[in-house]
Amino acid sequence: MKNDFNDVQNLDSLLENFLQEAPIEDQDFSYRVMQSLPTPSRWSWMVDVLPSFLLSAILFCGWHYHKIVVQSFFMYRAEFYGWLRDQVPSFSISMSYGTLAGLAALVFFIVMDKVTGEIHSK
Amino acid sequence: MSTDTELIARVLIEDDQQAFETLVKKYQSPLRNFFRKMCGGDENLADDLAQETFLKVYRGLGQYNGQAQFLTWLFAVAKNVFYESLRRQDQFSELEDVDDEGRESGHDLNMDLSKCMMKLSPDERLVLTLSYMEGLSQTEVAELVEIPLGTVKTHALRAKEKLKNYLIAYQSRSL
Repeated sequence: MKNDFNDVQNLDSLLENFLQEAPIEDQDFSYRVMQSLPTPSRWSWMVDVLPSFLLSAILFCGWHYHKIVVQSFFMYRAEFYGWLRDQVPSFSISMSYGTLAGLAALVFFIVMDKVTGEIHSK
Repeated sequence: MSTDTELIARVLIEDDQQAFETLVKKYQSPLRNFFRKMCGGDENLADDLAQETFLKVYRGLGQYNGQAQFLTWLFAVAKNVFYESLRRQDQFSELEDVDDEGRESGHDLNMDLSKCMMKLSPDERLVLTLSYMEGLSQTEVAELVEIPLGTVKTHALRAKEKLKNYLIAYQSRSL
């Protein structure tokens, strides 16, 4: 049968019929796609656990050896503050240990978050 | 049944591959049909490109902002994969070259249409396929392909005009 391709409506319906085909149903394709997905590294669980593990280790050691830690800190405190005073004359010695500990924890979390984030994004 | 948004959230938050498989099963048919039309009916090449698209979607799912329908976003990724494959290798020129030889094997109208589609430029083919296959408006096609609306209209008009001429030529030769 001859088609009148000059007829715009005829061409439109031809294109619709041609382009709107029956759905392709086969499970092999989805299986193939799933097989090609990147699998998580066997060590990826370590990345999730590492920050908590390190923090726990620090807290554990700090609790058990706090005397040594505190003594060491006091021992070097004067020297440290002296050095700090030389660097920043307006620095107040009244800065509490809590603030220092808080700042250290903050830096620790920021660094760990950045490190683990970068590892995850790879 | 979970919505696309729920499935995507499960993939992103829990890295739930079953949820992604559900998305693949749901959208594999329109995507593979799209690539088959874009590749002149080459099923193997079309499936390779569809697989590559799903892989890119899996890796870049975090970039889906939920503003457009998932299928529309999927086609936007597919369009990029298609153009990348065009740049990567000149496979499609081979397909275009075989049309006159292959014509002897049969004069099925769909086959003729498929060969004529391959004579269109990739942009024209893309605009026609998205418009007719997915029933997207020209505005939606313009957003998806990231070209001005006027260019989409020009591509559609020019493509139909070319197709008409090719089909008339084909029909006159086959009679």
